[in-house]
Amino acid sequence: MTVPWDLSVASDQDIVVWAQDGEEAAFRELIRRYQRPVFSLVYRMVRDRELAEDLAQETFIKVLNAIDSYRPEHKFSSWIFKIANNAAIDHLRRRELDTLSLEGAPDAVTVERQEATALQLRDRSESPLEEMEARELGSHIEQAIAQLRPEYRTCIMLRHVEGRAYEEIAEILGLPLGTVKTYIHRARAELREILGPLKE
Amino acid sequence: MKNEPHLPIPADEDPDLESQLGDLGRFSPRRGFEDRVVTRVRVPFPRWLRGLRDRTRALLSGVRGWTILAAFSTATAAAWGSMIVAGVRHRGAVTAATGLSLSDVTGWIRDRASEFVLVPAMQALGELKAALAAAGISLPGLAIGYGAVVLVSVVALWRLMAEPTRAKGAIDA
Repeated sequence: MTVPWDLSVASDQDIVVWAQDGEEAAFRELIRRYQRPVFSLVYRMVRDRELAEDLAQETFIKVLNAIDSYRPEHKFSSWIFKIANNAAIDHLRRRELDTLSLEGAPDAVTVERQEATALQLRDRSESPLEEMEARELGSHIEQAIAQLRPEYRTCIMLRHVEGRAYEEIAEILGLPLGTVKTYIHRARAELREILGPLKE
Repeated sequence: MKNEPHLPIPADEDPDLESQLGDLGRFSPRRGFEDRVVTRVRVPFPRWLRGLRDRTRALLSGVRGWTILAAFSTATAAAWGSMIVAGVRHRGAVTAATGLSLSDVTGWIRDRASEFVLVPAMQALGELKAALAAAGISLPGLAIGYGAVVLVSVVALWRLMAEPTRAKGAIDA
């Protein structure tokens, strides 16, 4: 199969076949197609631009280096979203484990030791990156989504930003279809609850 | 959580929420994301090349390196030999086609060999002899010493290469 000049009109499956055949243009097209969806999903999960970029990059490297193991019976989008979501969830779990006490380490007995081990709170003045993040994720709906459980957040993102079918979301998350429907139902209920007082 | 496959797809219960969710957009990574990823991705060889490599590997699996080297050297020598024999036997046709006679070709080769190999080699040899004489070493003595070192190295290399096979045989036995 010859590679056409304009890859943007080709299907994901065709592009993957060309990528498996060692066409760098096909790799680039896959990145171009999925960089915004993958980055948006991860960014909304971790809410840190730089970290989201690292995780998105890791996702692409993992997917593209394993392109030979891709099976065409699955959608490419499901595969890449699954890996991106796993990367974000793994990070959130690690971060939860690494959480430090604001008061310092539990074994810190002296004032100096408590100060040395206490979590450094951010200065009020924001860096340009933080300002951009605040602008991007600062709307009421974004803040409400941030309060959802990670799995609810993924479901809402895949459904409402990416427009994925319930069946595909179930495949991405490795959950039964009914569970995905329940998650979305509950996520919406929680969002209504969080956003309710803001409307009044 | 309970599996509830019978649960209907959630209906549009809150138009306001639906509209807010519908307005959620995508974010873009920093410029150059694509290049940053591509530099860290291993682009595979074309499929035909991988197929050829796999077939070659399958063919050569179990064949020892020395066998491959010997076969390759024999094939190369045979190819060169056949070419030279054919060139000499049909030198009339070759001369007619190229305008070059056998003596022209051999003369050209002799001239180039003399210019680029023999003369520089003789010069180097003369310099080496002078240096050895200055150091009080004779050329035949150096040749014998060098030959002995090469011989010892070859034997040592041969023993090293043969070692794993013997060890494996010992375990299997």
